[in-house]
Amino acid sequence: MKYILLLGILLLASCQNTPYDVRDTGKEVKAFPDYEDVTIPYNVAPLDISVEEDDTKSISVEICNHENVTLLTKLWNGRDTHWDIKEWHKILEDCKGQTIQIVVTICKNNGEWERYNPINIHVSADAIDQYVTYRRIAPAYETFSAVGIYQRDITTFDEYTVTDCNELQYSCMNCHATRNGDSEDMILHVRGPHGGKNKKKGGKQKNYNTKTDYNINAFAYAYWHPEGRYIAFSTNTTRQLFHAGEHDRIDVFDGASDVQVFDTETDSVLSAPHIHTKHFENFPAFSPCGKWLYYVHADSLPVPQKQDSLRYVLCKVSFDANEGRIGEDIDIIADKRAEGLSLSIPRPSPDGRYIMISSLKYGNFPVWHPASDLWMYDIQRDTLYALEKANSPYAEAYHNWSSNSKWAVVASRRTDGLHTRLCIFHIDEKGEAGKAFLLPQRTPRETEDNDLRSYNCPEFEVNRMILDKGDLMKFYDKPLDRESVH
Amino acid sequence: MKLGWREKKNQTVVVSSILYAGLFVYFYYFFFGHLQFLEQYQLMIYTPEYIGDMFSRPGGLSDFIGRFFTQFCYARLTGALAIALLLTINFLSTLYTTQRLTGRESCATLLMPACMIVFLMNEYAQVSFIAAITLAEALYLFLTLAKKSSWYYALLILFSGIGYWLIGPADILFITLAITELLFIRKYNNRFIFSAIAIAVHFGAAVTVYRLLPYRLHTMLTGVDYLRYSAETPLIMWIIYLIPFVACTHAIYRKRLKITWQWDWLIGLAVSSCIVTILHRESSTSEQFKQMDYWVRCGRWDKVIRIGEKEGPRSQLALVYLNLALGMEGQLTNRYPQFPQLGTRGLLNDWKRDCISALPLAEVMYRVGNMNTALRYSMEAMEANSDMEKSGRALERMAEINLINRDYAVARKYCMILRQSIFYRDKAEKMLAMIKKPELIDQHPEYGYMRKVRYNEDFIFNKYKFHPEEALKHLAMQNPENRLARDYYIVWQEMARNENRVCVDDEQVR
Repeated sequence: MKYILLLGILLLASCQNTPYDVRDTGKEVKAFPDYEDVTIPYNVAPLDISVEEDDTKSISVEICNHENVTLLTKLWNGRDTHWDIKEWHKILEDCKGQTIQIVVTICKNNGEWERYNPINIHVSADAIDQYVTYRRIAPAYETFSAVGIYQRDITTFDEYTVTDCNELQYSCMNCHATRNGDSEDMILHVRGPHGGKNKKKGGKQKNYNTKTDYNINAFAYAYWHPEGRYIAFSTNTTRQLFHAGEHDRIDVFDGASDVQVFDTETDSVLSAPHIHTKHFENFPAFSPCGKWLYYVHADSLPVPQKQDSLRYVLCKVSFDANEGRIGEDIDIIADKRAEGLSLSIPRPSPDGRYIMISSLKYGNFPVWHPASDLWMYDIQRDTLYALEKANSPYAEAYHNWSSNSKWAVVASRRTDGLHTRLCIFHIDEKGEAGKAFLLPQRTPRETEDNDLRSYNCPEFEVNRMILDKGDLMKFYDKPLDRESVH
Repeated sequence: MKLGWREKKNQTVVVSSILYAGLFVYFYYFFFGHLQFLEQYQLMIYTPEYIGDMFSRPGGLSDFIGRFFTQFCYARLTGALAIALLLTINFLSTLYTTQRLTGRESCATLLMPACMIVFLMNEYAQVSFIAAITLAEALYLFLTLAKKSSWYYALLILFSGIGYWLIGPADILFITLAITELLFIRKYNNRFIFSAIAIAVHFGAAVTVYRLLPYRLHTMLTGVDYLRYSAETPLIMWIIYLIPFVACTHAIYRKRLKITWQWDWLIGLAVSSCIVTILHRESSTSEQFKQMDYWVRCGRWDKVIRIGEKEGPRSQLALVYLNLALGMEGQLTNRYPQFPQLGTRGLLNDWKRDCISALPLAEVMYRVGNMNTALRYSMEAMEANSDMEKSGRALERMAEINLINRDYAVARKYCMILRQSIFYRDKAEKMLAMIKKPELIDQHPEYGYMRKVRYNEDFIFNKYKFHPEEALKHLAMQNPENRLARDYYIVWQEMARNENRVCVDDEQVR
């Protein structure tokens, strides 16, 4: 009887208390996501992990500072950590500019404890903007079911719905853009027969039908002028192509594309013959000083027959915000055609020093090109280089900067090659990117396995994005009331 | 005609047993295609997030029960058993409601299962509406247990709010029944005030939820999950709300007819059967396609051909399945002229950006070895589904294609979701085992074969750049083993060449 009691006590004690008789494995722990050697902002949400070692019954995880002093130890049943947000933030606040270590000790199903090598995480003293807004949609072809614009609080795990297709009656939406990360000035593109642009400026919303006789199509990719009066747009006739072989699925090309500037005070479109040509102009972006308009350009070729020969270059043209005038001289500032690369989606850093850009083999739609990578154009040094640490073997696309130019977010297919996930990475004073890490999730493995949607077009914001539901629904309820852009 | 307790019990047992048997026969022999059609667009998985998501909007409980029953429609037998059971419970709740309000039974309660079947014939119908009506009646029956006016009022107001969240807008049936009892039976003081409060709570809840959640007000008043596409509410749903009151009216005036309860129920069964039979015949075109779809999913090509031989293809989509079945059985080149054809449109239908027309395209493309196009149409079949649910059938096919395409991470992802369901678990586990040991894929009779006959080189195409005839030729030429692609190519050429001779007009294949 006493042996049975003893066995019972042992079983109860097994894996319930602090680790004992711990064996050092000397190995890296298999965990998802990979946070080894990443640089994180001190105000980010807890980096929860899912341990993927076999026979894991429970885990004990310590956080140590750079002097190897244990700051916090927690024990969890199962494979997932679940850090308390307040405790986590206090530790990061105390360890700004230092490296912390996450030490994982696993209790196996047989009751033995095994310790793995620490995961090193560098805590940057640079804060990150509190919110990131993105579109969530299945990586589908033409149709879509659940689609919406959502905003995530990066410092916690809270997610808010900005709008979704339940509200806009199964309409697709995308291409949201804010001015300098301030959601009070924003624009949202809604597709479909009743589609258009919903613009919010100074908190006031207005709907526009942006398809006019002058445009080849409605406004698509948008970028605000820093002073808030103008919004640069591309107008595109986008088409899909399909791959026949293994792995690759879709290719996207423009039958035509132009760049224009919308004046929000006069509701009129500014254009110039040299950026409204038979060639392809796309993805406009204003410089932070507002004096330059960047965009990508490719010489006209018959598409889709020659779409795999279309290679874009990065251009700039001057812009006079006082006169509302687009300059006449176009400069090609980055060109990788000789190396067989095309450049797309230029995004200037808010401090005006860099332009982050996608590089791909051809075309301008990097998300369907597994080989697409992020590059950086240093405006001062006039050099273009790959952001090696931020890239992965899969597609990276739709990158954006935080308001302090220290962080960037990108939609990456790195987890399974198909579903895009938001990854954040640090940019140091030399313009080099740190290793990208997945936006923190509670129960990361479970979340990853059950999430069949892609996250794209991320943008950092400093405040909550709130749209008036009644104004948004005017897209559908009173579509004819919308004002046309002159 | 007043009946004793024992006689009432016998009556209920006999009628509900006959009803259950009748419903089972109908679902098993005539409606199985439709039930499978419902199931394939609504994958039920057992995770806290999935179930929590259901309860995060009005009608969560009815949605959960609806999906729970729907999952059994994966198989013909379990589907017929489950949906017949749900409709019988729904009938009983209407019967007890009528008994409670009038003290009598009415054969008009049989209109409830009949109208529910008519409702299910709508392609957008969801089983959750049946669950919602049943729950509303059950809630009312629970309320009748309250003996004191204070309890009655308290529960009425409570269920008007909580009921809206759990059942959805069908909670209005509970409120209407409760108010009917209050006004005509209980006649408590302040009954008008509390009736008005209950209605105000119901609509107040709808408006509050509309303000808080990203839904349209119309959806909040007609139900989030009663239909897969909730822009329009079919007339039959409004009729169903009235059936308990029709049954009560009939029960009150029935004594004048002076007929036995056996005859009364027989008349009810006959009328209900007539309604179902007439409307079933009306929808025979789409039901034929759905039956063929069921057999295609089961790989029973002989059954598809038998339906074609017996009835002739009644729609373009049915013809596409018939030609596919002929091809799979090696009879396409010889036998296709024996059936009414629509030219090349009978081999490959047009996709209409919906979830139905994508199914035959996905199936044909998979069988001829055009894996990526099959993947595309499987995804379209799932994503064009307006209620934003995942399709178990499409996910399973996409997992298979990703296995064949060697995209193991994506295949694993789909399998990890499928393994959390009841009916897809075994298949998902088998595929997960193959991902761990990829050589098993080459040894698999179907996947190994598909790897051999699929496109073995990558090229880019679109509908302008690459005609289906070229695609079939390419598949047939690159691998002589691909007999189906070869047969399709031959027949495609013949049909295209002799379009006028081979084709009949659309009237013949309605």
